[in-house]
Amino acid sequence: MSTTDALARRYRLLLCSYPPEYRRERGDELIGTLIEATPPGRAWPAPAEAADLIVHGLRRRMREDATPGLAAGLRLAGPFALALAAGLAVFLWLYAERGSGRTIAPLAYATWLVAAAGTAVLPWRLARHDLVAAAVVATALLPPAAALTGLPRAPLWVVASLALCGLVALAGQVADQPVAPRRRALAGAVTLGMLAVLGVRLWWPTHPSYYGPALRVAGVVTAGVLLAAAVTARRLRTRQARWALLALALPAAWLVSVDATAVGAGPGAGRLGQFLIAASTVLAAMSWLVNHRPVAGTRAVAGLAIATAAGLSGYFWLAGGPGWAYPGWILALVAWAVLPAHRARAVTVVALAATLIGPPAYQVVVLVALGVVALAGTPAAGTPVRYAVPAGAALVLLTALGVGAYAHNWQPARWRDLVAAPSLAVLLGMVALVPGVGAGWRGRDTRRGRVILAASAAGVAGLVLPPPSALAVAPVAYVVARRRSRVTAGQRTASVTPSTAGTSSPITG
Amino acid sequence: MTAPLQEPTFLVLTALAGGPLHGYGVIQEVSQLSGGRVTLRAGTLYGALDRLTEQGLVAADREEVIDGRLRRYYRLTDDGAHVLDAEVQRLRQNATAAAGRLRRRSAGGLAEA
Repeated sequence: MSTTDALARRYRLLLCSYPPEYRRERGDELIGTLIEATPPGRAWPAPAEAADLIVHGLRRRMREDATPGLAAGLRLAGPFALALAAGLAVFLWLYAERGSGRTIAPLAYATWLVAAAGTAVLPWRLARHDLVAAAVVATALLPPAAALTGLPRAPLWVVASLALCGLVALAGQVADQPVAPRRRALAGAVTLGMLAVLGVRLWWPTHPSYYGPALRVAGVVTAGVLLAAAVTARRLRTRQARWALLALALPAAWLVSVDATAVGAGPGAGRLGQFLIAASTVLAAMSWLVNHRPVAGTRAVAGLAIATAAGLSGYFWLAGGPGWAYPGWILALVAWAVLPAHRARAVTVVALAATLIGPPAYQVVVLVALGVVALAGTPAAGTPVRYAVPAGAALVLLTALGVGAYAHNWQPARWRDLVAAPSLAVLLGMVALVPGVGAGWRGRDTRRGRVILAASAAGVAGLVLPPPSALAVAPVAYVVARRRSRVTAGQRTASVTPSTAGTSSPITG
Repeated sequence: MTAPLQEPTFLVLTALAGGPLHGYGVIQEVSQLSGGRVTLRAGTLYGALDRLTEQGLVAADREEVIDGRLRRYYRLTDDGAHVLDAEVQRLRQNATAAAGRLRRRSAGGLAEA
């Protein structure tokens, strides 16, 4: 009997790959069948049986957790994404790839043109699919190919926006769509490319290059595509339309360039900061569409904040920053992973205090903002977050090292070069602070939500404006949120009546 | 009207054509039907049962608790019987056509020899 119990326990563990709803409904039945189908005396599931359960569980999850409207939205975005990628390829090939600015990028541009043309005319679904996939691979191979051959590479924004467009086209199953949208994608690509070339010639008749006019025109043209997609999407249900626009906005975020300054001139300056704001706004909006449960939202943002603070601190520490603040944040991370919430909060407060002495002002602003978001977003009684938060911190640290490599044009001479760009790496704070603004605004009916909003907004301001601006932004954001709160001051002071108890206060402790 | 059924799906429907069965019953029956060639794993079986239930070809029948474990029985619906019948017709046609060609081939082979 104890063998069977152990077996049942192990099967139950494997069933964790299934969605919780399904497990509640069908778990006992599945365990019964599994135990009946296992030869007596076995205490461990057979590896093949285990693999089968995990695969089918994950498949079930993908089907059930697929957010409503996502698949339809992607199908709508697919042709637009392909048109955008091929159009960008035409434009950049004709405009930027001349004179001394030549790179190896035309190899990838050619694959995009073939993909757009093939998608429009080829009768074989599989061939159409493979052409788009080949273009994505060719684009992704540009940076390593350039590094290996020593030839000039295309800028990162080209590689990233083209590859992301291709992924959206693949996810939207452009290859499976009727012939009309596929033809429109080709026509759109040609039109976009020509319009962009014409525009750049008319308005900026200067010498061609990948930066300046090229990036700005690419951004304007992409904004036009988003607008066209928005107009098309009006006929569809709103959720699908939102997903379509967000899917297109992800590659478009790489083309956001307000001032097109090169990188490295302190926090907030340059393309990286603008891209990070745009991309994290898109990602935050996506996560809001996936699950809009405000309570989960603030907790997730709190976890994200502590992970980002610890990851950045690890980077600053490697860079040789002085003081106790950095080890303090790493201690706070450990506390989050192993201690109950009230203890973890206490350690976080200590790290916050240590941050005020030592690090430079631009780091203080971001770390304090992240710390306040983490403190305000966690309920007093909570369980430790074992794996997600440390994994997030490790990811932030690795990304920061990647930013260091980026700052050295991907050619760091020594490993210390990787940590030589703290004023650039600090911009990664956006990844937690932008979602913080969203989560805080949704929770503005409570003090907890308003504090998250104020701290996040102050942190973002401290990153893009001179750091002291954060001091002015925080109270303004708090007051605005309070004034726009859906719960009036009268309701706040009055005792909670049954009619408001269910509707007010989306964030409860 | 329908695409050809996958072999596990075909075998599950065939197993249920004999009467309602619970999960392990289907596994045993399929193994017997295929002469021991196909042993369905639980994840695959329930994936197929869920899909067939959604398509209305199979329905949950009754539940019983044996040794503290839940057994849910599944039965073939009329739609399921219809789809299985169409598949049997298709397979029979294919088999007849193939057998005819083979007969002609061996007859031709004899004439050449």
